[in-house]
Amino acid sequence: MDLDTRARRAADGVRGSVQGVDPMAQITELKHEGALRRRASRAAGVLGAVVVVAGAGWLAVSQLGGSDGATPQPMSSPSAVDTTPTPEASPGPIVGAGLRRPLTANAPSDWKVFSDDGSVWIDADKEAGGASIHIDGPIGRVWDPTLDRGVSLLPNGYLPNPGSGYSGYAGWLQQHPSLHLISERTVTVDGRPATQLTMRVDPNAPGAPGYDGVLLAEFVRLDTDAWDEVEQGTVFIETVIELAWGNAGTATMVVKASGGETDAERAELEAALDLVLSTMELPQ
Amino acid sequence: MAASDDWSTRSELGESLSIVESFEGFYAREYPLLVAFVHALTGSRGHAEDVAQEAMLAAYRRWDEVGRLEAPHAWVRRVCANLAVSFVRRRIIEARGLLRLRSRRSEVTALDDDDASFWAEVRRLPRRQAQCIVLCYVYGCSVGEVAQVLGCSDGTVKTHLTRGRSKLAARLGDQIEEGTA
Repeated sequence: MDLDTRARRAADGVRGSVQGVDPMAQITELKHEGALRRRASRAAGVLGAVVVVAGAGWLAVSQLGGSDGATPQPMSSPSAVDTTPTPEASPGPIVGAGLRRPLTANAPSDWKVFSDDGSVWIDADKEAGGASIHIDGPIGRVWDPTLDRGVSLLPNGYLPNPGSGYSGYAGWLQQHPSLHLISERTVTVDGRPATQLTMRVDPNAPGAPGYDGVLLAEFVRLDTDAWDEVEQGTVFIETVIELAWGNAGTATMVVKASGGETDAERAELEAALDLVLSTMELPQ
Repeated sequence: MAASDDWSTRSELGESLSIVESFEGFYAREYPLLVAFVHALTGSRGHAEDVAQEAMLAAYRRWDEVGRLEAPHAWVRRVCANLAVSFVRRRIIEARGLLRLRSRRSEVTALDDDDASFWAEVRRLPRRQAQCIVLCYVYGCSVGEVAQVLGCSDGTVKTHLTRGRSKLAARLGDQIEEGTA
């Protein structure tokens, strides 16, 4: 068959599949949600101090450019939270506007940085591979594939199998039945040791209910219930950082690097990850 | 009238007369095809509705600004393209989407197997190539229109389209008519 013919038929099919969409019904819902988020933004601004204590979103990354060792710059003071994802990254302090509990790091100057109210992701935005780095936390629960439900990550780390010799979130990842450990090393982030795991997701791993991929962890957020999801067959690098955190004792944050199809893209991803980690200043 | 002609006309009107289309009119026209666009990019109809709605919500919240852009449709399509490709962004949208499950969900018409297989192959392509191909076929965008949405040059789009179509043809065992890249 001619490719154009096949593509046009498929396009007709996918356009035809939306004939049941009723925009007028959807727009009512959209306006309602828009009003809710405006209220949530105002409330978040007022409750900022409480949020920090409660351990919700903490991140901010400034895109300072290059690997020239520029000093990370603190973000501007916390302000009202806009939960709308940025449509396209903007360099500089805009990236972290509205986020709480500042954390700074350098990102490659030619990568794009996005953020919302609780996470930052740094994206190569290249032709291929979808290489990106996600900074997120704190983790509230892990998804236990055996129990098929989320399980709280205890302050001292979730130990589904205390006899395994593993501990903490990094240990939990290592004994996850859908993940295969490729390598493990200790890296230093802002003077603290952190565990960095390179892992492959079993290509035949079942997805969690309602998701295509494998769920790992749920992040504590102010207004969302966000799960970290990895795709079957992919390789990712997870850097697990433990922080002192209020009455909870510790909190776990992760920096996940994933994507890149070619060796060059993977090398670029790893270089970007090294830059982010080596320049990261953690919230105190 | 070709889509590009329609866009440029609206753009000229908007600039010369300061007419900003109502958000409701924009939404009614753009939303269904945004769903189709993201459905092709992600393979999930439910996710497509959530991403399209999230992109439209972003436009709604700043319509005073977006509505005055030369091409607000390109802006919202770019938001969708960006939202659809990142796992972080996807999971945020999914989480918000769970809340919406309680509310109204559109009637779903399933894709037939051939169409679903084709889009699955498109999704295996590098991200930019997949975006270019979906914009090209689902919207019927010209090279220039794809470039406008994705914020890159015409030459870059041509390269992505050529490479993407070649890979698709090889994987599907199809032919490519000369001069259609």
